[in-house]
Amino acid sequence: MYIPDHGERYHIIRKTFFANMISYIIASLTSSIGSLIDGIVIGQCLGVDSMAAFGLVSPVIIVFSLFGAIIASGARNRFTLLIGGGDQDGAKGVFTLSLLMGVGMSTILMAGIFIFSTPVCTLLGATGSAANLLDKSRGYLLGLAIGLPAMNGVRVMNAYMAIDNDRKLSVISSIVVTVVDVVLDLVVAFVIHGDTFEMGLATSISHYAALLVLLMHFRRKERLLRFSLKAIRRSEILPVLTKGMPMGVARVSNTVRCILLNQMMAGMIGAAGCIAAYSVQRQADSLLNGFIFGLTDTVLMLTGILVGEQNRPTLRRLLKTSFRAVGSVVLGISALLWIFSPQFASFFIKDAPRETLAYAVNATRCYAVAMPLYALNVVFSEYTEGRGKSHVSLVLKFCSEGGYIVLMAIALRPIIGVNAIWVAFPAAQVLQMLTIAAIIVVQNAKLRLKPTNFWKWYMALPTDFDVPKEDRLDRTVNSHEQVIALYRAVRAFCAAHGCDERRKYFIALAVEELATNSLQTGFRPEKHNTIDVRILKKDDDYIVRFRDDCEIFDPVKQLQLYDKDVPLHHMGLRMAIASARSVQYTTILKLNNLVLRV
Amino acid sequence: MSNTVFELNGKILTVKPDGELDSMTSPIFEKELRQHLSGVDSIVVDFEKVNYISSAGLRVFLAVEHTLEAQGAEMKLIHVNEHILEIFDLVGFMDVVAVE
Repeated sequence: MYIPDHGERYHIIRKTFFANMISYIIASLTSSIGSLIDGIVIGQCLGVDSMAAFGLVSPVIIVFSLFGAIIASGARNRFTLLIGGGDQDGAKGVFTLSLLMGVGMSTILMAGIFIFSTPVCTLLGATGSAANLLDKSRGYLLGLAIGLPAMNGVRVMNAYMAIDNDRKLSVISSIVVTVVDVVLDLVVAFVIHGDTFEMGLATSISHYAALLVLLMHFRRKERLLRFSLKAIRRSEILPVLTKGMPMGVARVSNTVRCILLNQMMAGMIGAAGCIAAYSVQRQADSLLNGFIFGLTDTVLMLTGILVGEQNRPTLRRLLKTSFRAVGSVVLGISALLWIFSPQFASFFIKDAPRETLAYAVNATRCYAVAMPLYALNVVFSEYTEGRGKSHVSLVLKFCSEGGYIVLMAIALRPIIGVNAIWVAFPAAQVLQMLTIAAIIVVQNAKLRLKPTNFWKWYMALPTDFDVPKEDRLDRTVNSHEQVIALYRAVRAFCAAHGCDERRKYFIALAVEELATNSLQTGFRPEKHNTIDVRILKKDDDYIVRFRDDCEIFDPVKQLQLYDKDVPLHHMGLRMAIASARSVQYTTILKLNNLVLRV
Repeated sequence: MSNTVFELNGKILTVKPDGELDSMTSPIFEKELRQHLSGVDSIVVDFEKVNYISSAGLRVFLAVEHTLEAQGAEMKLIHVNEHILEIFDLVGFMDVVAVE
C-alpha cells in the first residue's frame, strides 16, 4: 500500500538542515563582523605600531583555536555516531572528555604563553628592525592568552548546541562575544586609552561572557549533554583527536597557503598591490565562508547520526538537500559577489592605484566563481568524515585548503602572471572535483558496486549498509488517515516476513499508538510538522524508529509519571511500549527520536 | 467499520464487530453502537471477528460502559483472542469491563 509523502518541501531532514544552516551562518557572520571591527578599532584608534603588533600576533590566534577546533570537531563526530547507534552513555563520556581536553589543554597553553611570551613574540617577528613592537605584541598576546580556556571552551560547547536542541543559544553566544568585544574595544580606545594588552583582554572577557551564556544550557534537566566523569572512556581519546585532525589540517593548510602565496607575491613586481588584492579575496572568504560552512557543517553532523542509524534513504535525502542548498543559497551569494565585486574591493582598499583595484576585483570574482565548486567539494569531504573515513577527509582538506591552491598558483604563474594567485582558488576546486570523482570510482570498485544512478555512485555505501529494501518500510505521515494506512501497511510488511501473529499485532499497535500520540500531543499543522516512521527487519528483530519535529515529548518519561492507581492512564503509550524488548528515546536537533525493538 | 452486526433479542443486544477497531473505525463503531443502546439491559460484544483493537477501541467500550452503568445495564465481551486479551491485561481493562 503506497502512502505518498506530503511534500519534499517539509521533510524533516530538509527543515532541520536549513534551520541548522541558518543558525550557523548567523553565528559565523556575527563572529566575522566582530573580528573586522576589532581590526578597524585597533588600526584607527591605537596607531600603526599597535596595528602592526596585532598583525604579528594574529597567526597565533589560529594556532590557539586549533586545539579547540580539533577537539570540538572530533568529539562531535564521535558524539553523533554514538547517539545514532544508541550509546547515550558513551556520548556523554565523549562530551565530558572534550570539555576537559579543550579547557585543560588551553590552561596549559595559557601558562606556557605567560612564561614564554617574549621568545614567542620574537619568533613572530618582533625582532631586528621590528624590535620596537615587542612590548605591544607581548601585551596583545598576554591579553589574549587570559581568554584561551574560554575561547576553546566556547568552541567545544558550540559544537554540541544544535544537537542538544539549543541552536539559539549558540547564536546568542556569538552575538554576546561580538557586542561585548566591540563595547570593550571602544572603552579601551576612548575611555581608558589603553593599548594592545587591554584590547587582547577585551577579546578574552568577551569569550568568558559567551561561555557563561553557553553554560545556561544546563539549566534545563532534560538536556542530553551532561558532565559525567564516570562516563569517560579512555578509549575515546584517540578517536576524538584523529576524527578532529581533518579540521586541524584544513586550518594549518589554509595558513600555510597564505604564507606561501604571500611569499610568491613578495617576489613579484607590484608586490604590495598583489598582496592587497589577495587580502581582499581573503576578506571575502572570511565574511562569506560562513554560508559554506553552515551548509557543510550540517552535512557532517547529520551524516554522523544517519550513519550511526545505518539509514540509507535519509542519508541520500540529506545529500540531495545539500546539493540543492549549494545550487540556491551559495550560487545566489556568489552571483551577488560577482556583480558587486568592484564595490566590495573598493570598501577594503581605498585610494588604490587602478591596477591594484583591478587585481582586487579579479580576485573577488575568482572567489565568487570558486564558491559553489568549493561548497560541493566540502560537502563530499564532510560526508566522508561523517562516515568515519577521517584519513580520506584529511587528504581532501589538505588539497582543497592549501595543497592544490599552491600547486595551481605555481603552475599558472608562467601563463597568466600575477592573476595566477587568485585564479588558483577556482582552478584548485576543479582539480579537487576530479580527485573526488576518482576517489568515488575507487570506493565503488573496492566494494564491487555497480551503481545504477548518481546517488548510489556518489554515496558508495557497502551493500550491507542498512537492511535490503525489501526488509524495511520508510514512511512520512502527518494525518490520522496516513497513520491508519501506515499501521495496516506495517501488518502486511510483518506478514510478508513470516512474523508471528503476536509480534505482528504489537508492532502495528506500536506504530498506530505512537504516531497517533505525536499527532495529538505536539503536532502543529501550521508548522508543517512531520513524523518519519521506519520499520526494519534485522536478523530476528523488528526495529521501529520514530522521528518527528513536533513539540519535544518523551513518552518513556511520561509513562514513568503515570499514576498506577488510576487505571487506564496513558493507555495508548503503555500498550505501545510495554511489548517492546527495548525502548530508547533521545531528542537531538530539536527532533524526537524513539526506537523500539520488538 | 460498516459491517458490524447488531442483533436485538428482547432486551439483550448482541454486537458482532468485524475487523479492526482502530482510531479511524472506532468513532464510527461507537456512533452505530450508541444508536442501539436505549432500552437495553445487557450487551454482549462478540469479538470472534475482531483481529485488532487499539486504545481508541478500548476507549469506546469504556465510554459505553459508563453510559450503561448510568442506565443500570451491563456489558460483556466474549470470544476475545489471546493477543487482545494480553492488551486488556496490560492496561487493566478487565477491571472495568467484563471479559469472558
